[in-house]
Amino acid sequence: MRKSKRLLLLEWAEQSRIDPERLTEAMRVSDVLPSADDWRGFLDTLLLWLGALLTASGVVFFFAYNWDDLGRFTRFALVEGLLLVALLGVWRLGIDRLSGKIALMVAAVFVGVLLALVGQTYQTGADTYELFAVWCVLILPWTLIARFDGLWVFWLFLLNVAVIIYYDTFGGIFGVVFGVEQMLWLLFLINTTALLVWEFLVSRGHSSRRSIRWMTRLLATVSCGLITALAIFGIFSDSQWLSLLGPIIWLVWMVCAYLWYRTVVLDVYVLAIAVLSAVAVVNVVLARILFNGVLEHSGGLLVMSLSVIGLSSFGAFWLRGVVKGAQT
Amino acid sequence: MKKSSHSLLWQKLLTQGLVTGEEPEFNDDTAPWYVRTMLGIAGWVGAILLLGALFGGFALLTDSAVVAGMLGAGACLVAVIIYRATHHNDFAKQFAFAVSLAGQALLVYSILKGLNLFQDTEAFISRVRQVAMVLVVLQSILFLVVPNILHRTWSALIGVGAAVFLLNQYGLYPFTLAITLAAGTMLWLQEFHWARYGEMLRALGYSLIIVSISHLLTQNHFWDDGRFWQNVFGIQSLGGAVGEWLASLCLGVILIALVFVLLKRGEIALGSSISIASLVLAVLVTLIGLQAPGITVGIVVVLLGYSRGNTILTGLGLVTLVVFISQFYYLLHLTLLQKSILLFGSGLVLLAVRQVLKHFWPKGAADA
Repeated sequence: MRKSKRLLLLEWAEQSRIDPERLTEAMRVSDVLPSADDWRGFLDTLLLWLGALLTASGVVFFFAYNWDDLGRFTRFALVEGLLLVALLGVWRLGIDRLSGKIALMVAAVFVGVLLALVGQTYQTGADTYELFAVWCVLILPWTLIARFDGLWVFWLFLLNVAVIIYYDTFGGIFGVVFGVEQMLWLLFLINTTALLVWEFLVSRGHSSRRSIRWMTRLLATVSCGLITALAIFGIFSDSQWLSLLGPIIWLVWMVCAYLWYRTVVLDVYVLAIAVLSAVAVVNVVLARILFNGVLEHSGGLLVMSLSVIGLSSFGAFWLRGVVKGAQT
Repeated sequence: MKKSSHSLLWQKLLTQGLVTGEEPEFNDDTAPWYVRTMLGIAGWVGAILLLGALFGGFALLTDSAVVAGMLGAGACLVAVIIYRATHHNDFAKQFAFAVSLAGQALLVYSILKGLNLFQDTEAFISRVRQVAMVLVVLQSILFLVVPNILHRTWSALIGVGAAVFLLNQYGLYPFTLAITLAAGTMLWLQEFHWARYGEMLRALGYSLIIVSISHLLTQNHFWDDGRFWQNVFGIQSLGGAVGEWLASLCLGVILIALVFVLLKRGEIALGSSISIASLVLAVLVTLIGLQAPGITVGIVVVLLGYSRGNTILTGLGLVTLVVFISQFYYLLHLTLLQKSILLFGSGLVLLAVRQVLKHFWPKGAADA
């Protein structure tokens, strides 16, 4: 609401309906600009986030320095000590407060530092993906009890990295080419499941939609991006059943996204990325048809150019209609 | 925004004496940022395909630099006409954007071909400068004549980027970052005063901030030992190592000046505990930023965004902070140990300041 008011007031000022000299006052009266209390809260959060980020980064850099003078027991004592301090912070601040949740996130980062130190010190011969996989498993209980979307994003990020590094190392079951598709399917499964769980929790009232909207949008973007890539892979695949699977699941995703984000809970952002996905996939199909001898290259490129522009314009027109409908 | 909220807002301003007359017609035609981004991406792709079709179909014509230039200029002119002739037609605007991008690409191609850019390596740098100058002029004209926010943002990005390149080439590196950040800060602080140029100002404002951030991340990127401009273009820092240190200090001065202006506009007395705390914090960040300038830049953008109620700017600032700290790992002007001490110490100081702030400026107290 604040963002829309801002643009509306600027528009009225542009139309000279508000004197520019009084625009600041108009913004304040409309609660667009932050009050003194808003500033106080903002500074508090900013200092907390930035302080925690710099502190955790400093520790990570320190152990990357690989200081040879430190004996291995001293190194372990330092990392475990910092981990303990972070956990003491969680205990003192309380898991329900934002500062407590951030302290737990810092502790989760230190777990990774500790695992890296174990791998570095004992040269266990473990693969890199195992570091991230074990890291995920170890911090999962904390992630569950924290009920903090920032920590969930971090956890999912680690899980995604573990999968990517695994496939980068082993190339999948049938070799490198199929390994990429397998990896994308697994990532799609992970991130779409996370999205479904999130939507389920929100619909059950475990959190307000608005407060975790950024989280659902992030997951929806990743999920949509992955299924779009899989659909495109399928279109260019020579295997009969593989060529159908990607596009069919993509179609199912699009229908479900429309039904949920258009008719049940309105989120125009997800609809916008769905439109972009549709433009991409439809034009890849068009390219496959056109460049199989239907048209020579220049003609084909011209048709595709008009198709991209036309479909995206139609999509934007539809999205604007959806936004207008929601506002009246 | 709903029509009822639109009316309520107008009534509220009317009772405060900030507006007069009839309520403006409800016409919320502004698309959300993600719809505009989607259109922008599609426009880009459409332009590349159109360019491919033009080059393929008119291969013989585009072989001549003059003809390619005329085609490019013609395409830009057609785009301007379409923009000015249509108002609420998404397809036309998208098509015009694609045609304009294709026209600009043809113009640049004609200049590159005319200058034989890749055939004479000795004059390569001076010819790239000529291309940059042409880009500044071309994008300035398009910025002024095309009445579309997406196109204006594109023109401003390319124009400001080319101008920054020229400033670096003509000896102002490493102060160019401070110049663009200062320009962006001043522009955003005057956003309400120059509201009647709203669309132009926002396009230019975002471009100055985005180019500042890109310049910061480019000059600190981890290839070529973080000395991109020196190694690729052979430029020297103005003032050498002292100059680089002074440039970081200039960024801090911008931050302190911004805090000062915000305090003044908030009518907070300079001698009050809030002012003292704010200015001390700004000085602390400046000191941290002497070795890690990305932190100063990120904080400036975050403060600018929050003070204007602009969530896009605030988000850009936060992303800058995170990306810079990741990049900081690879910079070689300090050892990893020095960097870790700097970051860890800075983090602890900020957390301590947060605790101290609770005494000087308790939450819920409007006046300290």
